[in-house]
Amino acid sequence: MDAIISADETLFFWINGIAGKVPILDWLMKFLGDDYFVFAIMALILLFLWFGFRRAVQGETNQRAVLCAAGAVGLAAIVIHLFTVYGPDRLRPYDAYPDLVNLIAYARTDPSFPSESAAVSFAFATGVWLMKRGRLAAAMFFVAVLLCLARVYTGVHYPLDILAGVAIGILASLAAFGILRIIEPLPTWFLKLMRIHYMA
Amino acid sequence: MLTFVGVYFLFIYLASVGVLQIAVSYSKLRGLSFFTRPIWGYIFGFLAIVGGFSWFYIVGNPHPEVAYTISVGDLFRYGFSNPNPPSTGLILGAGESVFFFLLAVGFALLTTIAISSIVKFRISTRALEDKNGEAPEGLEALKGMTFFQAITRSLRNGQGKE
Repeated sequence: MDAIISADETLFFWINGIAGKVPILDWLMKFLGDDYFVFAIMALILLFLWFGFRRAVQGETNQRAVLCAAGAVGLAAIVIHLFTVYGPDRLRPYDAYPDLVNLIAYARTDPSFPSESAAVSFAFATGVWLMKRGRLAAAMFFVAVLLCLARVYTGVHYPLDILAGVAIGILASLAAFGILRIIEPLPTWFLKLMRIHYMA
Repeated sequence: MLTFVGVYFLFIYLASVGVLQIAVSYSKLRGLSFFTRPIWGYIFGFLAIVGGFSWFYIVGNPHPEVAYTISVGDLFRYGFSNPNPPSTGLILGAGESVFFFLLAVGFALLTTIAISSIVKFRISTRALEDKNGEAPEGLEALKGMTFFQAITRSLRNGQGKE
């Protein structure tokens, strides 16, 4: 375990060591790593998916992808909350090594492990991908990876926190995908109800 | 006074109205579009999204450690620069973010329905009916009629069946 923690911290300092050297890169990473930007984009993509389709069949696939992603995000948030309450209280890098970390984002007060941002962003992307594989899902994965990188770069997470978050996000999506199949025909009824009201 | 919640709400509202216009232009849902030509929907949507993000990131400093309110007076005083308010702690948690996001999307949808129904009130409701005179269901129906027309038609058909 000590070897893993040591490797994790070494990788963290290698990535975070770049921070503060290139202002434009710092600005970009700060932007990508903040609490609103990526999540707003991903949620707006879901909104586009719900209403943006050319054929009715494509529309239903899109809307099921939105349901899956929304469920996955909810599940991921619950798991992260449980980790925050009952899990290990790992200090944030800037708290553990205040003199060594290049903190270019604001200091959070919740535990470092696991990363909620990584979990939620991967829940969004995987949830969509499980129902609708295409360029949009690929773009969401790309943005999620950038967010994860930005979190380490800005000094708020260790790489291991990110990996745990990614795993939680993917597992939550698989669970949401499975639940949607188990509770069928509820999703179909929901979509029918929305269709009656011209909203699906 | 506009609190941080207000700034966030307006950001999501503007961006959602923009995304909806792009989506309905892409889907050719004429009944939900503000415009007769899809290209204007794309342009308007893009500008609304850029406007929403600009509003949030330029006018309303989104760093959650900055708990502050911006007044209309501050907007005039500082223009598009941040007044650099003091750091006082988190404002929007995950739950609040989701709640206000959904609220803003709901308002954006209502606005879209209202404006498109008013602007397109003369749209022909027979445009997409098939040979049997039946119109498509769900959102597909809004390719040929406004939301208001679709609801009115549903209510009329419902009354006719009784």
